[in-house]
Amino acid sequence: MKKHIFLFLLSFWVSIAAKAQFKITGKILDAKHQAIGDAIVRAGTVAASTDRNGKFELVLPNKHGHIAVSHINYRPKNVLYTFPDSLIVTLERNELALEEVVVYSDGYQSLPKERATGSFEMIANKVLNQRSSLNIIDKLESTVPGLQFDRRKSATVMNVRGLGSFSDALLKPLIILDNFPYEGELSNINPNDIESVTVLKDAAASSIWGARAGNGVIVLKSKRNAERSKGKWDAGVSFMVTKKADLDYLQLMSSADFIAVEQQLYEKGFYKSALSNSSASYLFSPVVKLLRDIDVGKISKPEADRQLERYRNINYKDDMEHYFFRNAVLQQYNASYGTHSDLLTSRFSVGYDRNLANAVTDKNNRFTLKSDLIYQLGKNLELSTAFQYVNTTANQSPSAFSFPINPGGNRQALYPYAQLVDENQNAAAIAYAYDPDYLIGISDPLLDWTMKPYKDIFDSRTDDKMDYFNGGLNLMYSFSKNFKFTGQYNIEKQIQQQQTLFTEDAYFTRNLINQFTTSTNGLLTYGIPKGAINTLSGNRMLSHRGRAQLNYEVNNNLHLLTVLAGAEYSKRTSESSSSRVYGYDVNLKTSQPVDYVTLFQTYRGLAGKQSIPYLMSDQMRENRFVSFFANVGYTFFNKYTVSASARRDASNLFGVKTNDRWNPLWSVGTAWYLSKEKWMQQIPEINHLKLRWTIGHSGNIGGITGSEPIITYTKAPSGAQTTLPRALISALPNPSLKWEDIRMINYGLDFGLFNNKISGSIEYFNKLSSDLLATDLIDPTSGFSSMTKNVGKLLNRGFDFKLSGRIGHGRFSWIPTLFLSSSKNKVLEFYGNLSTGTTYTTNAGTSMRPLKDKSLYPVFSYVFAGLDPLNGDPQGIYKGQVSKDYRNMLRDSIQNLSYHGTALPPYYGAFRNEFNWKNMSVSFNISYKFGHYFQKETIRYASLYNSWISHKDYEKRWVKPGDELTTTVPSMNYPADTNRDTFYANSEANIEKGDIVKLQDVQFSYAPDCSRFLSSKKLNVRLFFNANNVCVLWRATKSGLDADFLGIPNARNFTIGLNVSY
Amino acid sequence: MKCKKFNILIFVSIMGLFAVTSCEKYLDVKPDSTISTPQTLKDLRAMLDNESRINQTYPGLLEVGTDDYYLNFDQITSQYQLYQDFYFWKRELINSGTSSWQASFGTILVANVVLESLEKIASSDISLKTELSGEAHFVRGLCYYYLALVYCQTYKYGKENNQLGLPIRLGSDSNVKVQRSSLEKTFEFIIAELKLARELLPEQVAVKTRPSKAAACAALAKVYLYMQDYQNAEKMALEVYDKSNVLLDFNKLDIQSNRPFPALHDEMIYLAYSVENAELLNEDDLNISSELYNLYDEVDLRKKVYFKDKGDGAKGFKGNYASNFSSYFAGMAMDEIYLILAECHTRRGRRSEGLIFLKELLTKRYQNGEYQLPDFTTDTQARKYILQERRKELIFRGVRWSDLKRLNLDKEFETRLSREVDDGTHVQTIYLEPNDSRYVYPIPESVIVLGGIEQNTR
Repeated sequence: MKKHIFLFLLSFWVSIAAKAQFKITGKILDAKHQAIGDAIVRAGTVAASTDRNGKFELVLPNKHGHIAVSHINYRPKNVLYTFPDSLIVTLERNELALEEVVVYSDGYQSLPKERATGSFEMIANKVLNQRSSLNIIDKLESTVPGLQFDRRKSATVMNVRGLGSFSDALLKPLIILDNFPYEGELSNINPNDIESVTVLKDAAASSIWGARAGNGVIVLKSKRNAERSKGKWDAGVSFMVTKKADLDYLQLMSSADFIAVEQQLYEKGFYKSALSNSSASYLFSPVVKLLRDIDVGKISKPEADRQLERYRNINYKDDMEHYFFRNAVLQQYNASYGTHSDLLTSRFSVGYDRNLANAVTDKNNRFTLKSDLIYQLGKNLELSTAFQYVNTTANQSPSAFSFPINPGGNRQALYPYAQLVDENQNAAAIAYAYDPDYLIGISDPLLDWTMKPYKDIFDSRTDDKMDYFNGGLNLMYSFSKNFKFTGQYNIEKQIQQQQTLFTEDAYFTRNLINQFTTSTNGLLTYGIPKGAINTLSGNRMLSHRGRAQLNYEVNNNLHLLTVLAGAEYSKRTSESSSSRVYGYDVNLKTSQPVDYVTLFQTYRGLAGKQSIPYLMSDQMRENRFVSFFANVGYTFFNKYTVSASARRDASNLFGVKTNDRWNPLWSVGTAWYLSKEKWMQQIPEINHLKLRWTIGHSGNIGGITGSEPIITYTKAPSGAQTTLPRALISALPNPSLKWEDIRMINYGLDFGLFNNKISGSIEYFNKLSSDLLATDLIDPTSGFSSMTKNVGKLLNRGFDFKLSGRIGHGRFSWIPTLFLSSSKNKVLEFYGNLSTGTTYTTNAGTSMRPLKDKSLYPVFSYVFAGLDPLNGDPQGIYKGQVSKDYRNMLRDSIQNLSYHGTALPPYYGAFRNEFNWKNMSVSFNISYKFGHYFQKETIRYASLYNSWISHKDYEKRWVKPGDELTTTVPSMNYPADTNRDTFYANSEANIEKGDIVKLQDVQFSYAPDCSRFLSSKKLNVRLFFNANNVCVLWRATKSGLDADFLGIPNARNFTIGLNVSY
Repeated sequence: MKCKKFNILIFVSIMGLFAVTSCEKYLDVKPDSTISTPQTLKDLRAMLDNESRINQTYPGLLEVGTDDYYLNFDQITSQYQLYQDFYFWKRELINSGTSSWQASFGTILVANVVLESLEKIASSDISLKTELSGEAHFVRGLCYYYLALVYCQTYKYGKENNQLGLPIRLGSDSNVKVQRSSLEKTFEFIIAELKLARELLPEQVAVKTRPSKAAACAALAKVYLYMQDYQNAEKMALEVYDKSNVLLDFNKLDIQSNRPFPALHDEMIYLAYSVENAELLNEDDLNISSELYNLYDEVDLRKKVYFKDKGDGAKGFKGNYASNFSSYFAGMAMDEIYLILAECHTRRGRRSEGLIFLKELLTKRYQNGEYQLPDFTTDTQARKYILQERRKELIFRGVRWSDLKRLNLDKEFETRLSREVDDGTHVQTIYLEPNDSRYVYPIPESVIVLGGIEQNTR
């Protein structure tokens, strides 16, 4: 009864004509004869929507006519009606369908969403397509609740639900490609071959992967062919342009300011003693030399002023932007063909990518081939093969310069008014490593010892070549309806070769040859023969894996039991070698021998005594694993699910006693499908409601140890007096070392409301990492000051919240998805080194610094008490008093520091919106991160004077009393005081909030209806345009910095592309 | 159906059993080709040939407090606070920096592991075993000697020497705690180690990074001299002299060179040097004290070989004996043996014999034919001359600090050290009195806390 009332309430009546009325009723069904609710049924101006049983009623003025049926997830359909028909209309799902049957894949089994107890997150192909990139992983940023990208390191670190370890090396999530861990380079995977990505977030989802799943698991699933029986072609082409980096982001001082500082220092006599001391490896800037030349009368004042004025107006940043960098262009081409029949399902794909990178010398290509075949060899036997081949080549310059250029010669950043390219477009020389005046003074006919950066980047090159092969064989045999055996084998082989060629003209070559040149009474002998220097290095990786697995499944109306158990082994061998030859002739490919044994006196002792760099090496690593695993899932009355999994892993971790090799890990979980309870079905607004709970353990492998000391063989460093084989003690015996353990508890609630117009999930997790490998301090008298032990404990707590909507009317739909994740960590136990304040305030938050009761990336600073109004000195607090005792404030204990919080965002998420109208689709993704802090760079006068490291904060410095009210930047002092600089740079004044909201990506796509002008209805065309890293919408800091990056943020890119399928 | 299931079960169990038994072997493979446990004599040989762990670990602190050099105000104030504290002989240090302590004990650990492994490794190569054992005892003894110079009070010949010595670690087990022994026991141990090494080591070695019998004798001579046991010092030095007595002729060196000494040159007996760039020994910074520089005659080649002109009248050091950068030579060399012989003979009333050794040495240091031995009327005069020549010859050789400590015991030879702080506005002078407790460095705080041993009073 209630139902009927609700039906009435929901029914939508548009118009009731006064004249003749014909009541048409009907039902809208999908291909599986399930009712479709919310479909729009329209005849002329009259329209109605279907109820949850798919039923509709229309009162129409005509007896015959057309009815148009539409629904956002289905292809629209026109049908004829004649009163008093009761229509049954079947709709086909369209390609933009949102709520397909979600099946999670964890690499061992496919699990329908309904039966999952664990925390899975699947990213469908459509979402992957919203962003263009060369790399599949880049597409995941800001699309998955609980997956965070930390781009503050040189290599991006992904973490699934926070951190689980104290060491960077142990933070990586496990990447699975189809069924097996993927050991190759992630950039080998062509994103066009990936159907979906599933992130396994809790123990029930991931513990089947055991000792390597501690940081979460990311499962990549390759595309298989669609259900269509005949052949299907797919082809795509796209062009992506990535803008060059914005060097102004680094906020370095202008040339004019830099020169002003140098002039002041010169007047104060800062360079006096150094200028009179002719040290070869001590650089002076052209301005300082010019000032000296004025003093000694070598140049007239007006001429010098003219030169200074010229210097003030140039900055080599412009030369770098103009000559060293360009907008990168990536071209991507891909095509695939697939068939599907009862006997054979196949898919072949080919892809080619060509990238001209931002650096003018860099480019790379990728060619991929992939085939997947599934043969149905009989009623019970299925055989599948997978094959993948990737070839990549990359070219770059080994002497590329980053900005600012490090010129050596006791300096760290080049003076800004350098000129890299002269007026005639020729490369210009800069002061580099050795004083130019000293070099001019050398009478021996050495090779030219000057550095011309714009020439040098082209004088040497590194060519990388890689071949990657992945083959898989999969045999599935069904003994009976219930029993299934699967045997799988996978082989991966990756061969990388790198050639670095420094030509005879390269600075590297000239410098090395000169260093090893001996002059006896003007007669030169060469330790390194003239010619190029060629270095080859290679890496070979081979991995074998095998798995035998039994599946058992019983399914009747009330009980569904799935059991799987199996064993697997893996073996991964990697060999690396390198070699270098000197006196190399590029054309003849010949080289000349050198004397590696003698310790040479370098030219004029400039580099002390050295032996010729010896780059021959060979190394092999081998990891072996053996594992047993089992998983049980039991669903009864279609409402209650329990699941359990167990796994034991063993590896050849060095030195571990056999008995300790085995590491058992387990998980259990339950789910309660509330919405299937009778009493819940009385509430029609709630379509779907499920409660989940899981607990389990997974692990992390790390640490090499044993009951005897471990020694490592090393190579003699350059400058060593002998070249004998040498070994060092790398670890003290520590037989009790274990694998790290990660215990995860997850609570989840999935919901679908109002005909699933609104759906989402809320999850809460509690992740306790214990036995973490951390350095424990030991008495240095033992020969080591610290030792790796299982002493750390870390707690991560947080939630993942996801809310999706489907709001549509006719051919318009809006699909918003909002997610918010939180992950807060706290170190519970840590016995390692506690240092004085400086350690925690220097580069605060950029590296893991475990400290009890604090977050793992703590941001500390010195308490800042403003500038001294008299002279602009920064002030802090020492022993409760305002103080300028920098030396003691730097060594103050941690308790007296100001603690801001974490540098890793504790809250992050995204708001993704997709609008579809007819053939068009627009989407954009807004990402946000909240609650974190970062330390900004600032001016340090000692570094400025001595190392030429500059910062624009100089412009904001205190100059006169009263300035302390508007600035925190200290006055420029002479002589500089490192302690004062360090105190200010690491004080509260430079800690900023990291909160940021970005427009991550925007996409527009258009799929014209080709049936209008082509006879074939099967041709689908999609045009798209997208932009990534679009802009920052809002940030808490006024400094204009992006705390997600330590250096220059990723540049904006634009892509235009076309996809055709037939 | 039933039967089928049963078959599968059997199949699985057999497979499982097979897997379990065979995978133990499967997992015995070592994961990295470059790592190992010390299993063969070759491993031990490689451990003792690891220059950076065996020959390059001597405490940088030993040269930091001497009066041979100075840093100007800008140079010293830009150093780490700890180094500033060392330089100005501060009574309280910002922290006590573990590097000097740890580097030496790292070497001692290698020696201990080698000695423990030698007992386990069965090998018929007795001569190699003997040699390795000798080397291990040698480096252990030498490390303890240098540590004692830094962290212990001066040894007084013929006295009780009950003061605090060093913890003597004889094994590699990091769980074993060892308390500090007395100074007497420490020196007994050093002498015993070096004597044992003298017995075990071969006469000839392939490279000078390995100790020979002569190296052990030379080390003993050094240690006895510091202990003021001049009789034994002379005896050991003579034993070295009988084995070899080659001196470098400075007339043949490339005087202009930034690194005038050839690597592993003939005068060197054993190569050892301090941790590079340790503490304040950065050559680009340090200036040679003018008092020292002025001691050299113009015809003394050492003036040009050792020093360079830094402009502004300042002199820098370039004559690193091991031809390394920014470290001091801590090994044994013939010139030092000549000086020990000269000093001991003179102290033991055979002045003319002693002066012959000195003359022989200095003839090779001066321009050809320029050296003239002065005439002395008293032993003390001669001794003063010899000690001054010792200072001039053995600059940045890890000797000055120990000589200061040793000679301060003798009223006639004691020295008050001073440092000037000139910040441009006013000059302040800091002194280190003879026998001051600051001649003993504090043991690193972490050693005190974690090792539970007693701290030095300073």
